[in-house]
Amino acid sequence: MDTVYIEKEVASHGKTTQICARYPKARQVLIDRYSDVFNSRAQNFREQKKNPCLILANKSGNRVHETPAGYHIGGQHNYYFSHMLNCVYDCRYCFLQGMYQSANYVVFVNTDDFFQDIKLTVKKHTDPSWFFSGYDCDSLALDPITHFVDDCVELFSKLDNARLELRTKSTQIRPLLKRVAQPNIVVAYSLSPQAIVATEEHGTPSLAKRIEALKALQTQGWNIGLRFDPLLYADNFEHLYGEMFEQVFAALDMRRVHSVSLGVFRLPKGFHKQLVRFPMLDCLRRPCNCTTAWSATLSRPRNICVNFV
Amino acid sequence: MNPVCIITALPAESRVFIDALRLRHVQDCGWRLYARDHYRLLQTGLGKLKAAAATSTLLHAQPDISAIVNVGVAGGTHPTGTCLQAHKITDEGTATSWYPHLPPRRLTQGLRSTEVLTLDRMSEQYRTDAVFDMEAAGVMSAATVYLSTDAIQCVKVISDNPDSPVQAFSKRVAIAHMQHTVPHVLEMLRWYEQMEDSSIRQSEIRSLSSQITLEVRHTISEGHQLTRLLHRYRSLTDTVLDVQQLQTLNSATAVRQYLETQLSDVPLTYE
Repeated sequence: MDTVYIEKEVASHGKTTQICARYPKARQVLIDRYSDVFNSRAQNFREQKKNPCLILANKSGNRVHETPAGYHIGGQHNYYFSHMLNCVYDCRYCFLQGMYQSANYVVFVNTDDFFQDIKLTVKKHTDPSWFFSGYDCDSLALDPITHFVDDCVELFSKLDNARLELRTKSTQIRPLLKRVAQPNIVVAYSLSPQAIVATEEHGTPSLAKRIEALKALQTQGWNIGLRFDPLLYADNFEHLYGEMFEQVFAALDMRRVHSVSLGVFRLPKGFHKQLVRFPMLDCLRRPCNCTTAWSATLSRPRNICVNFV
Repeated sequence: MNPVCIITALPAESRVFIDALRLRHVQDCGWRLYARDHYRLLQTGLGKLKAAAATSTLLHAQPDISAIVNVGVAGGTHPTGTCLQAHKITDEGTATSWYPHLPPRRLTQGLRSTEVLTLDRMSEQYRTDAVFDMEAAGVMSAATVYLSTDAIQCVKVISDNPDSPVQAFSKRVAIAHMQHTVPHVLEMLRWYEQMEDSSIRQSEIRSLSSQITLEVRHTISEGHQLTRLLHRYRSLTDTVLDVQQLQTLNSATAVRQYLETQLSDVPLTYE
């Protein structure tokens, strides 16, 4: 990280000091609001992705949001929160490229405020509430810097009526392996065939490494989830995905998998239109099927792929 | 290779780059432009208004310019001759700020970053947290209409400070100070030259699009659709597009259908 922007409001926050200590040579720039940098006009996401900056900020306003319709794993009350905006990985199909102007990482250091809001949300319901981390970022990828997972697991270990999903592609599982498995936390991995990982999921751990991490977590008693999302279509779809399922099923105890979900590749239409401008996002240039609000790249009927899976 | 441009205000700021890059004056109406190969140097004159007007005119006239670096002298509390790059540029008059996306640190070794405050007139009320100039905000305000913030940088050298006030400033002194900026600016230009791949593709697509629209009438909206399809075609196939065949088609719809058919036939495999 070459440049760290720091909101004046959090300049003396303990977490800010801790994170800045990891980058002693980085330029430090004080700013008033993170949005001054993150949302400013005339930014180029793809160029910034080559050399992203870190923005340390305070998250005010709503910190816990209801998930969009369909974003759940069976729970009745579903919420997501983002302690970070943007992802360290560079998945060429990622919707964040269309959602944000900037590829810089925003880390909200006021985690206590997030936790307070989570506690208040839990109290609203008698049924268990589900919380999803990893909607606007990868839950674990930057954890060696943010130490978010440690704090988060600590909190949820005391919240019986709350469930947490940590969605990730990262193998940074040391903080989890150091702890006793929590029954109300699911560590869910997004999985794709290795050929797709290599072509489209730049900077992410290989499929084999992800399976290895899942296996280690399962062995230690953690609930694990498998997320086959997005399913990317290809002429050799059956071969690619068939091979991947064999690898996954051979490595894991499938009876002890907490949940499996799948979803075909889709993007809000506006994001898709914006992203096809970028030259390197080849996967988004496939012929696509557009409905009013969504685009999905397709080469064959969606049902064939879903049925195969 | 797309041109990259240095923007200065005064002849004393331009001289070191004209010499280093062996630039030649370009005879054109009313502006001071120097060029050689893919290098450009625009000398705007003093003040943010002139800087904005000249930058805007240049980028409008030469849309293939892929990056600019504003270079010049500034006042601050640092020792004279200190080079700094701007991490924030603020127009004092309007309080508008811009944040250039800075290049990697390895490219700018020894170059500290600072806020550049663009003033309307010279000042000796030096500040420790910012340096004063008179053009950077004008350049940013105009350039961000055409370029993204990763393609606009600003490098300043301290020419006056509390110990050496602005009255001591002379052309000779300015040239001597500007000499310090040359290695940093050339390094930035080299970095921009390596980032050409995407802009080459953009200009290729523009050229293809205009060849087709010259022969087959396209509305503005159809033109945008065509550009998107050409981008897709270029990404998904490595074949050269048969422009002549497209030029013989009788409508924009026929061109679109032709390209869509070609695209749907492209094999889709991950190996």
